[in-house]
Amino acid sequence: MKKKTPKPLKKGFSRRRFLRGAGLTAAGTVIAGSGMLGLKAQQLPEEKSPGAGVLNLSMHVNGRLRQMSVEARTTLADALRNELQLTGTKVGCNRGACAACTVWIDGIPTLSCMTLAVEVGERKVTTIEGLARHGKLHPVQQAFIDHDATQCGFCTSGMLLTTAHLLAQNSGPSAEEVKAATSGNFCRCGTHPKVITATLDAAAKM
Amino acid sequence: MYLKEFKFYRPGTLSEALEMLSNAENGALKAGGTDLLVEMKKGLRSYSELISLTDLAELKEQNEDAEFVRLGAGLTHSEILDSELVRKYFPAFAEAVLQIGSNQVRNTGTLGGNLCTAAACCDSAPVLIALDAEVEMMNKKGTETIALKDFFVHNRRTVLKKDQILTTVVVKKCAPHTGVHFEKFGLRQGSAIAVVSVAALLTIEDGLCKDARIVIGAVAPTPMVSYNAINAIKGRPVSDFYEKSEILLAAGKAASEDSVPIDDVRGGAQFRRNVLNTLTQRAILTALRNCNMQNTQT
Ligand SMILES: Cc1cc2nc3c(=O)[nH]c(=O)nc-3n(C[C@H](O)[C@H](O)[C@H](O)COP(=O)(O)OP(=O)(O)OC[C@H]3O[C@@H](n4cnc5c(N)ncnc54)[C@H](O)[C@@H]3O)c2cc1C
Repeated sequence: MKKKTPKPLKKGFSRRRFLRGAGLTAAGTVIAGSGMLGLKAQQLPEEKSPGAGVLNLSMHVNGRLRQMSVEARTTLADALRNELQLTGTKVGCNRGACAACTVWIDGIPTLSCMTLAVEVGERKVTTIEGLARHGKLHPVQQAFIDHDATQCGFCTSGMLLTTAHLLAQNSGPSAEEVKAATSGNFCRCGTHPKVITATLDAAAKM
Repeated sequence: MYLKEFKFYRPGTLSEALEMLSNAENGALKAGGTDLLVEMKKGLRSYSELISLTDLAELKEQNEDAEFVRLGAGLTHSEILDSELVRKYFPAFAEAVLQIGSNQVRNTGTLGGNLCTAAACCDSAPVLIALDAEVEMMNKKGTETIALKDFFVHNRRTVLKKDQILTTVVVKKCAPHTGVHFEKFGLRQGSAIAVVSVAALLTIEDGLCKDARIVIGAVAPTPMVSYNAINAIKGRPVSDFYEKSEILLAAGKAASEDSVPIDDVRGGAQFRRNVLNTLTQRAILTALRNCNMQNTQT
């Protein structure tokens, strides 16, 4: 069984938090303590080794500096989901093959399941929760709704970050270019044709 | 599929990294992690220390002199694709790299990681071997250089010693009138592992195929030079190279006879041999076409 840092249930906890807490109790997990507490991301270069055990990091996520306690082995995906409750980032295959976990690091689509949280450092992370700006959906988000380009929705946040990045690079992509850009994003429901239509529509409206 | 605990080191210079590597008890280098972390998650490998290569500027260098282009092992596939040097001198290498995984995988996976994993199906090696690339490996004692074709020992095994870091891939600029091409056969269009791959390089002089390289991938424990396929075409007049010509059929057959493919979920051994036969012929013809294109440009 994996070790994990249990957190006390807070007042007014959500269903997700309740399930998480219940799982941890059942697993009877232990905290891996260490003297590394208080270590900041900026200090990593001097410190060189965060070691095993728990460390406190600060990370730029969606325009805010967020604090979190992770271990060296914690992936960015797990840190976002479990520490920051940014559960819009989905973990599909957990081995880099499905791209459901795609986030932007300094604007570059990156697999958060294949990235260690400690390695993010000063770089800026954008998740699906940060794609809408000032309460307004990104054009690809609106187009996905208009064209009904999601089914179960598990691949959707990865698809959106991938297609939004494409449109930032190439404002008038062809269908082939959308296909190539999203070829690493797997959708088991089969929304790919609608993803392409929606992305082309978003491009036309941007 | 959580990772087991490990200590994480983040050296800022190559010499620091070498020091840490030589002191590590059960350590591994981590570049992009797209192979390493997958294997660790699956429980195939476990390490008590990971040493990150991502901050090492030395591994990101790329430059040229009159004869060679030097590419840092830490360059990501996306950085290789953006490289002016690669685009100018080795467009076929860029084409091969573009076929590695997905955009996301290419954004973190590195050239060095691809070579050091040493998978038989690795996509960057065949073209680089065809180009007679060499690799530089460094430990605290110094630097060793070896031809890339001799770097691979077996499936997932290289000559790299425990305390060595692959620092640089050195690629010789092509002779005039040289064409190169890479063919990859996967089970789908995007994000597919090679079932068979072939790199072909042809140098034409006075209407003859003066020099040639045929390198086959995913059909033997390592990427491999097919000397019999090379012999089938070397010295032959260009007019003998056309679809289904005698020497092309001979080259395809020779490559498939040189191969020692396995049966696995992606294809049976005989299937791989058949595909290799066709792919070899296609790679040669396209390399020749690229060579002609180069001729008309210069
Ligand atoms: C979904 C997916 C699809 C993929 N598709 C393809 C594909 O189509 N074609 C293909 O060829 N590969 C593919 N790969 C494999 C992988 O992405 C590449 O091999 C990649 O280049 C590995 O580089 P990395 O930087 O991530 O290596 P890492 O995972 O960081 O390292 C791999 C190994 O090399 C060692 N290493 C890394 N750098 C050095 C160095 N400088 N010196 C010494 N040792 C070093 C590490 O210790 C480790 O053992 C795929 C992977 C995934 C997850």
